[in-house]
Amino acid sequence: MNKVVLFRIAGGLLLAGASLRLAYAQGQNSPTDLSGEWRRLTNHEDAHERGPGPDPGEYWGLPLNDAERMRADAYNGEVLSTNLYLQCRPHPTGYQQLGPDQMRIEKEIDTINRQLIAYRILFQRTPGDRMIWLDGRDRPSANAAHSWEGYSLGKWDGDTLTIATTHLKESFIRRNGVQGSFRRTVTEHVSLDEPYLTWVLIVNDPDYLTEPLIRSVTFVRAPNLQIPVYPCSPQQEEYRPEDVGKYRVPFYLTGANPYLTEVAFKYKTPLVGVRGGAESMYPEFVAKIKSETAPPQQFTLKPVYNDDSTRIAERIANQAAPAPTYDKVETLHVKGNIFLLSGAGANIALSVGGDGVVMVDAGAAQASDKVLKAIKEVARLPKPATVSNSASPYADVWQSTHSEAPPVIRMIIDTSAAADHVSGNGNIAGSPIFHPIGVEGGDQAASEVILSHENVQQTLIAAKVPVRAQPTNTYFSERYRLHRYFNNEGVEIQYMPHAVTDGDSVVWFRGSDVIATGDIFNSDMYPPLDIDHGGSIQGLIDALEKLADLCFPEYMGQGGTLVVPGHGWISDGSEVGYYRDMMIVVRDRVQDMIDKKMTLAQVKAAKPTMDYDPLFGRQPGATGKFVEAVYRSLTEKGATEKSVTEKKGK
Amino acid sequence: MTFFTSQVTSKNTKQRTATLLSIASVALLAFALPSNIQAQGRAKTAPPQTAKAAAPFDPSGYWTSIITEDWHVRMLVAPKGDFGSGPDAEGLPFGGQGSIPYTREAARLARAWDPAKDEAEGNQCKAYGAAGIMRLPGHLHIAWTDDYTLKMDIDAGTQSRVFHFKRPAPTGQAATAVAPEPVGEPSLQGNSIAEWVILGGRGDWSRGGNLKVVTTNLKPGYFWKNGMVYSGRLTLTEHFRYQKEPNGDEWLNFSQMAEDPQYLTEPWIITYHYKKLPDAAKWNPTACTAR
Repeated sequence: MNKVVLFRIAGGLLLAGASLRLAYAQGQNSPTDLSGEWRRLTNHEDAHERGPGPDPGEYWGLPLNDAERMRADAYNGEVLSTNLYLQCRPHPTGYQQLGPDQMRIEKEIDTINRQLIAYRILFQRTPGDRMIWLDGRDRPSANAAHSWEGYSLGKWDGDTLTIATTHLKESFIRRNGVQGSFRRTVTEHVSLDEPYLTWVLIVNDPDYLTEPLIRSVTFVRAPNLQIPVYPCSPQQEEYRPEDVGKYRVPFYLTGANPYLTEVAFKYKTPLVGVRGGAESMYPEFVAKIKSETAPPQQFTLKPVYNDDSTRIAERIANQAAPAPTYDKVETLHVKGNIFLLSGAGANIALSVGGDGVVMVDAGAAQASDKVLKAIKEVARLPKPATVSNSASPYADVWQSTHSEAPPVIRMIIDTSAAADHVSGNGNIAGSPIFHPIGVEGGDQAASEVILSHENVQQTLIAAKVPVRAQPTNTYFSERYRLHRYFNNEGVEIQYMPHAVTDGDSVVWFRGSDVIATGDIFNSDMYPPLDIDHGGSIQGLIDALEKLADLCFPEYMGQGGTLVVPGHGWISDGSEVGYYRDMMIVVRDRVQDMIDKKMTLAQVKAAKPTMDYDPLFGRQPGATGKFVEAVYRSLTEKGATEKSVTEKKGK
Repeated sequence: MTFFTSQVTSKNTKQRTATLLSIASVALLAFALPSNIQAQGRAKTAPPQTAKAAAPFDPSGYWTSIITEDWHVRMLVAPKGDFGSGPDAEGLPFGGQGSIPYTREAARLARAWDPAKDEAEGNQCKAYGAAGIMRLPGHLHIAWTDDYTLKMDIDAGTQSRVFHFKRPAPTGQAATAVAPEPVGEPSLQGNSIAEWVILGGRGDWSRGGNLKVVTTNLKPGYFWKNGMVYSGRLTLTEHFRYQKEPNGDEWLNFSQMAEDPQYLTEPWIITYHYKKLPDAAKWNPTACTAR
């Protein structure tokens, strides 16, 4: 063998070695490989809770506050039969792994550089694949949609994958009505000791927990395990003939749940133990349990709620509302043609397309400049090129697609007369890019400029807002459809009588499958129920029921029809369903107090919304106003009709 | 001569070939081996790191158990026969078997639990052995007693577990590392051999790892205080991991796998959570109790 051949062989070997090294380095894409099928080690821990489920009132080991305790005490599992959004609700992140489902983890690979960019997790009862993003991407906007599985970012820390999840829907922490707030976050630590996968789950809930809740579960590799589908189709289940056709929310009034002490009796445990709280997680609690005795028999508990979480509304009741700054105006794509424009007062929904822009609400007047700037930006999004008949398509097509006419706003639809929704009407209508259908001030029959229910127009006239800011077109019937498709879809406006006010509209973009709700639904605050302007709690409940029914979920009660709320983040039917149920619970609690001859002051002192205040009562004074409005709505018979008559008489 | 020359030439060529191929092969190996394996190789010539120095996290300090799972059978002494599904679980379609994958014989023995007998026989500590004590409400005090020994004091029952890392052999003996402690009579806490499991690699996962502890030579005891038996043939494998959360919480989370060919139908795996304490203020040594 000559030298040349020898050197070639040696060189080849060196190259092969280098290639192997390179391949190893590039192939080491994560410290361990979590992909595959996994079988949960059923019931190795908490067999009772993870199998048949916890008993009512079983809160031991949960660091819950009194607001959460009240919420769970009121829970009646029968609600799963009536609320169609809850019937197929999957286990949420933070609980999912504790459930009975098996699990598949797949790798999501960047097709260009073939690096691992995400894990995709699938359970039987998950609406879609839960993505754990590993590519360093940012979190979405605070106004982005929430989901059962949330938005998860992963990062390796040594041999452990740490996952941080936000954007969760409200859902359960324990399957006996202990709820997790939509503000909760979940941290997970996943580690592999072949063939076992340990999953540590930590729930942080600023609304309902006083300390993080840590739990864990173990899976074992189970290659080729089939993860079946979950074809859950909700059905309204009513066992009582008198309830058929009515929507109701089964729940227990405070002090009326007969099952809360069952678990203490059954396990011969003092009540102080089963009622939970952070102290029940610590060893020192053993002495406390031993110092008390278990109840000799089951009885109906009359709970007292008085910890810090019960005073959230009180603490901020007399605080001045912070002055709005409008410094975070943001545009976010919702679905199809529809965008959410937030931070300019109430939410604004925009239909954006070749026909121009339709605005649902105009926001606050002080934010109009920012609104117009945002609309100009969003209206410049790329449009598809049109096919030209020209002999030189290049010139025509390129130029037409690389130059553009100024953005055009065609119309404003007002969902109510509230200033944060409509005070920007005048500024928008007076802007150079506002080119409505027809001529403003011209023949009203030949124009659609600013549209609302007629009661909104009446209210704004009565309030003496400038003419330019008043609706130019009104409707008075149950629904109003724009006279033509706009941006290739039908736009339907539905009247919601005597809901928040007497003039509420929701706007349904039928092709995009998005509904802008105005203040009928707010994702994180109570509605500004206004009895003096024709609002009523029953009208609001009816409106929410109609809205929930209008939404068509994609799968497992989420997605599908998306909702732009009056305030808050992009939502869907399940969140509307929760909101509706809350209204029914609050109505019934207040009605029960009225039936007991309690005065408004006594009702307010009894805090009928206390368990919901951490979620919805964080605006100064809002809780008191809401409770008062519900009380008045239920006591001032005819108040609503009187308000309407008075207004029309003016 | 020509023939001889040619033989010599051939021999020289073969030698050169062998030399070049050897160099290339060594280079190939050097390139191909993962960096962490190379590092292990280098470690043979460099002074060996002690177990304490090699620790990817420092477990020392005071820790409190956080009990959020199996609450009623951990905070309380569960009734006889409650395997985790409640006292009336027998016959339930789900969960009636409880939390422990027991054999029929083990279940029979557990249902025959007699705490008075344990007390009379001086066996109050049967639930405080290595396979049971970590689930009891209590605190840990972990400290290095030397560069290769980690001691875990537990205030519940006033017990101590000792984790022995392999030590380098004394000078002049075989080069393999050895476990220092001779295996004696079976004991409540058994013999625990520890090692750091560090995957190494690059990027964010180059740091970190877990503490693996394998415990054998245990005296028979109870998994749970209500007489859930384990045998002396039990092997306990634990993986301890440390996590620090953004809110400042420090957790010692560990899985515990019990393999008992006598009483378990499959490995029983559970995970425990301990939160770091700032000091010894909560430390409260107590005696074993049988009920």
